[in-house]
Amino acid sequence: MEERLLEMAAKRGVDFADVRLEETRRLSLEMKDGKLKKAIPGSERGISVRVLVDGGWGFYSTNRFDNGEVEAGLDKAVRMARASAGARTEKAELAEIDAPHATAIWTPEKPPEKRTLEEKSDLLSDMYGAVKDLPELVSVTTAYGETTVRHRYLSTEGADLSTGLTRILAQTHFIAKNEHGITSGRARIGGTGGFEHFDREHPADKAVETARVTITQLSAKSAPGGKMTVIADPDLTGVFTHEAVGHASEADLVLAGDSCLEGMLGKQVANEIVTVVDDSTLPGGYGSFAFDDNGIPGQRKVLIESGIQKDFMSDRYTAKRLGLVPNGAARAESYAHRPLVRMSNTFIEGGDHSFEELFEGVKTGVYAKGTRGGQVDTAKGGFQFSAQEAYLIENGEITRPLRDVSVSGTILTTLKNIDALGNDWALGDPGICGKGQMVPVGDGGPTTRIRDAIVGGSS
Amino acid sequence: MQAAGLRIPGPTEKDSVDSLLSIGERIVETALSGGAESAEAFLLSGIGESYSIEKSSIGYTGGGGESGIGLRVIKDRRVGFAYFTEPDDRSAAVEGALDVARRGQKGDFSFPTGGSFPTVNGLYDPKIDQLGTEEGLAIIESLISGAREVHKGATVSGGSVGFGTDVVAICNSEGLSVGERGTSMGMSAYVVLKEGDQVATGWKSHEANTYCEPMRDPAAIGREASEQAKATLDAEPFGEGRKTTVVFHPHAAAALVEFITVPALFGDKAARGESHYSGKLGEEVVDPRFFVTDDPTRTGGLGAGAFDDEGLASRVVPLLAEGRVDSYLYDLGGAHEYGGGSEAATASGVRSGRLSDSRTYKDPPGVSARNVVFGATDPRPLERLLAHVEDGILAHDLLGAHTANPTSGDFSVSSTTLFRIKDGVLAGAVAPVMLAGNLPELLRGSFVGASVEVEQTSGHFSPTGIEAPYLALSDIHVVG
Repeated sequence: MEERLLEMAAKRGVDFADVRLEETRRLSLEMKDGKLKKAIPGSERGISVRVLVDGGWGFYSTNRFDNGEVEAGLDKAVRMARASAGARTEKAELAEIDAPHATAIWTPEKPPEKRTLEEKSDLLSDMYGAVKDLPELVSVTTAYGETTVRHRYLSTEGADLSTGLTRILAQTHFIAKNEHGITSGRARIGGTGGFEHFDREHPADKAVETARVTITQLSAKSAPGGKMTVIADPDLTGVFTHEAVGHASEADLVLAGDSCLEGMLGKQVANEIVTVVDDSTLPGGYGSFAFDDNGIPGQRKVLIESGIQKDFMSDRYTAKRLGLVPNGAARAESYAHRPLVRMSNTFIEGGDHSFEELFEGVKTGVYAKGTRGGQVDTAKGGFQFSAQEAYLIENGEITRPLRDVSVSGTILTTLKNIDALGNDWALGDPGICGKGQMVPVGDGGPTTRIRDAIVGGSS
Repeated sequence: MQAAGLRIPGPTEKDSVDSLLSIGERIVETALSGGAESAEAFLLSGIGESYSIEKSSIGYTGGGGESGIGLRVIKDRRVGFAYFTEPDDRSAAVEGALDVARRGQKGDFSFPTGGSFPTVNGLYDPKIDQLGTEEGLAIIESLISGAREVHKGATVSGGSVGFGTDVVAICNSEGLSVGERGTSMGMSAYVVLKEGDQVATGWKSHEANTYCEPMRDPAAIGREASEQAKATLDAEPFGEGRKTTVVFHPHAAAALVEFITVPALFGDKAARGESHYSGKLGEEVVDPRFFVTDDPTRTGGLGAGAFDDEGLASRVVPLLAEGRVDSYLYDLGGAHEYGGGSEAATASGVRSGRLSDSRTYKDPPGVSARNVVFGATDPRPLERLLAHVEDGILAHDLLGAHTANPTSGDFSVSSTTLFRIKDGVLAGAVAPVMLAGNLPELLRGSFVGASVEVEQTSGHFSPTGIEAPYLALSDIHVVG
């Protein structure tokens, strides 16, 4: 089917076409308070074709392979591309690459499909069992998910790729309550691969650790609002890096005039201790992949080196427009979506401060850990992210827990206000990034000290 | 032996609802003959097109179609689920669903028997079915030209127009057989304005089920986005952090209500102690003038429909009324487990994936609001609402509303497009601030009012329609 579709595209006079055929198998389980509530097995198959005609883009996707739907979709994409070409102010072109021919099937060390549904259900029971006797927990939801995707990528330039990978995730979500109040917490483990992720740290152990922390947050008081030093753990540093640096370094946003980092290549944008990397080759990273959805190998991309903006994440189209070398950042949520410029695993490189040294001299500040997510306005450079747990720092010491701490700032100012990095680099919890499409990502970094961050508190 | 060659029709094909139901009935028959005691098929077929803006020019154009089937079976009082895309794969799907059922919890769940359904208007517009590339490109051109009319230096960095049609059909072994066709359309413009060192942004969108009036003037949407960006140039710092009155734009108010208030009214969360409204049925929890209703029967509601994703007839569900928790939302499973039986179900079964804003056949139904309407029982025109504010801000956007703590109701978010309100009138743009507070407490003791003017928007992480007014709350901590 996919070869035939490509031949048909060539016959219709396109300048370029690529086809992605995707087969996905999923299983998700959800247990509430020890009772299995959801078990969702499923599989699907879909195809998309993307065409470039006279400098205009057209795209069509479908999971309906009957009644000439795929062929009609191709015709539709060609018509749309041709019609839009005349309306473009600048014709779309692609940066040149060597057409890839490869097979890259990443097989997990411990493939989930070799485990029974009972074993996976038992895993959730173990996670629940580990925390169920903590009296403050009023409800516990445990969840498991596995997704195995196989892709075939072909292009009119001769590309022919077969790729595959599996992602796995285990999560515990708790609600804790006592006379002081009510709050929630979440523990996640997962990545690209299989059950080997749970050998390194068992989800039940992480559930216990996180549940205890969640309980301590019950007695937390509201954070003081205002400008102060924030010390972020590796998980929260990862979200900050993702939100504040990663999105603004996506070449499609730079090209659209929607990034405060536009025009900053080669310029100092951060303190010289800061090096920011997006690396889709990290073994086991939740955002890792072998080839992007333009057929370019996944790679380590140094975005900021010693405070200097060195590169943006790009696909073939944005790289051509911006005069960059495409670096494998094209990702689509599924066959039904066109590839966008996206992050993979994004982090700040580690530093040389011990954990204790980071707190020295901090008169008043906040130590923030874990994350509830964040958001960025890339054009203005404003960002916000929320911590899962936080503590007040007074005279260099952690003194008391704070509840629901969020931090905001502007990208260029905050990057320059990072004045110390810990020697404890780690990848944070697996995450999902939304940019119109949802894709799995990883992020991380060292414990990071940020001066003059804005803490949104209510006391 | 099953016949081969069943084909799911495209949503715009004639008789697509009947065709889907016919396939669904075959699937239910297969499930019953495969060992299920009862079965339900949910079929979805959709098609759409989209056109995006890229730096004041057309960007991508694209289209697509998707269809699939979600199958639920009951055996030995246990429920199983599987999804698939080819009707001819139904036997394997039945086996998969029965396998899941064997491992499930026993319960008293049963599928609904059907009955009468309300007439809900404003769900389908044949004019949207007829839109194509020519119209899509013309709309993009208008969005851009409208934005640039206001300020020639404006860059329309993003935005899009999209339109589509879908058909949903549900049938089960208890006699339910119901289907519905709907259309949707949305357009938006995102403007970036740079003057010297200043960067201002403006955004405007419009969504509807029909090709209604605002859709016919895309240039006005572009103009409004550009005007908003222009108005936020020369923003002044807010000053020292303090408590103040904040009037939230409908989209900002909708985000807070979507992420904090609505989930707290899900029956399962309330029963499991996961909600700040747990155990408070009938208790006074908000200002008596503030209300929240789920109304999937509302004409043209983005989440409206004659039935929910389990086939229960839609009805209006008052959630917060006269200051009290009037009702919780239940899907059928939740009604059985937490509400005392199927009578408690509020037709709130929705099929959507995690973090997904669209319906899917890939998930079984879960509880969700479908078409939220909230506001004040004594709404005032925006001008009069602002007139009550001596010193405050009007927040057009919120960054990070999804990071609020839905359990406690605490939020701490950033706003980058906002204006000062001084002595009841707008008095210039304000530089970004953080806004923090506890929404349940604010709705109880700091509710100032809501506007007559409302906007429709879709949920960020659920296929919920939301009709939201400007919402004014006092005592919000603002940090500049």
